Amino acid sequence: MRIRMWLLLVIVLCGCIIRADDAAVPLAADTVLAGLETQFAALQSVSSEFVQEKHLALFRDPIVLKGSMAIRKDGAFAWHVREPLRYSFLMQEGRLRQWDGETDKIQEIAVRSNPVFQTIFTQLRRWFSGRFSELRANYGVAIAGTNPLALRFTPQDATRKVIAGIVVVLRDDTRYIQRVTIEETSGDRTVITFTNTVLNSTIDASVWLLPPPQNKP
Amino acid sequence: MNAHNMNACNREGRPLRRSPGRWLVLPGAWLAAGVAALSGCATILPLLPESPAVATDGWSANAVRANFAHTLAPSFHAVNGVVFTYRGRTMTALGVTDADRATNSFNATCLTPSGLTIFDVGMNDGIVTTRFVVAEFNQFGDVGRAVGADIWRVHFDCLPDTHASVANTGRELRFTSFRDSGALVHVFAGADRLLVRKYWCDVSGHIVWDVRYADYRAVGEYRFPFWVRLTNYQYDYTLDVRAKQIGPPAVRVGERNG
Repeated sequence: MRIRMWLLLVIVLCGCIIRADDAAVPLAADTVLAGLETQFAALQSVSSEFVQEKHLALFRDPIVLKGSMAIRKDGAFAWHVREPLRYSFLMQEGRLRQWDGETDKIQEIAVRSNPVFQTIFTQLRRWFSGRFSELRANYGVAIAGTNPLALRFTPQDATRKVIAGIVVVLRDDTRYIQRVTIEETSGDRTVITFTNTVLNSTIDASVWLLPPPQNKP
Repeated sequence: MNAHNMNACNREGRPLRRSPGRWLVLPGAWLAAGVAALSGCATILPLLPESPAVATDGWSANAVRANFAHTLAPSFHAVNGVVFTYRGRTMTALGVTDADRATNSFNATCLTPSGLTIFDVGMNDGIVTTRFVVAEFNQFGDVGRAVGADIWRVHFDCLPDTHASVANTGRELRFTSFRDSGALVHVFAGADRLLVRKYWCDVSGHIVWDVRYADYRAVGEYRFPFWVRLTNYQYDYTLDVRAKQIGPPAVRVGERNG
């Protein structure tokens, strides 16, 4: 059960969804995935701002989280939430660390000795490094749009009880992800939009520090 | 825990002793057990900011009550950082609440800091509806009811009954409102004569839960405590709620409850 929760967390961190009214077009999904993987494989690093909108049936307006993310080719991954509360999640060198501004505490978990977090680590790398074909074991994949290119991932495992689909929209140049939408079976959805994305640039060392220096009061 | 928390109350709302914990036995234990299951971060609770004490000699109970009633927003939308603490372990979450005090209604959701929904609950005219609870929390019982009760304790019933008995200690004004199953005590203090504490005593005089209100700030024409701490002695957990954004609700709260 806890594994499933962490998988959901991973999906939330990574996800983007496209509306069901985006009609699938007759393209070979596997061919597209292979092309994207080749393109993404050339990435040395990605850093980006993000806006995460949580659309809940309970509230008219979405809950909005803002922050930044970074990923390196060696798999190091950083997710920093700045608003409305401060939270950071780092995966690097076999360790998972998280910090939040409410408690100002850092939690550290050895990923290598923990299969749950190994799964998280692997999933994050798959989603953010564009290793989409590795997701085929657990997701059905369809082309959901071509301009811009959009892929719809439909869970085939127990996750489908909660997640109806995940849609990844690529940038116009298809070099990286522009938007991820997670559609839940409850009707709620989460949209993560990446902005100011920088590819193959040196990521500032402070990104890998906890507490994040830029978040200190 | 400070000295006040170790106490309960008598018929005048004065502290006597605390309630024995029965965590993991009743539905309310969901929170405590959930914290233990989901977090490995040991912590010590930070001290709540306290307003300088002022003498309350000569305070009029009616005036204090009326003054505070004017500072209470009839409805609001709050985005909060929430920290559950149980046995020194914590879980941090993002809480969003739309509340309408006039209709005894609210909608609330709790997310992980990364945006995963933990639960959605609503209350319409006092009736709690649970829309969603993440599967891992179902094992702890009726989560919606427990969460609804805590939201109620924090945000509702913030005014003493008009017929409450009043005790003036010289540093605070304590109103005790007797109910069927116990007594609700409201404590007002400080230069602005605001609610600083509210706690519930059962019929045997034990404090069952205790809410502290601090860091009041003006939001429009109203005052909001930007730091609230609820301590539940029955189930031995603490809930720290720190406001990040406060504003009016987008729509009438009760309209969206099922």
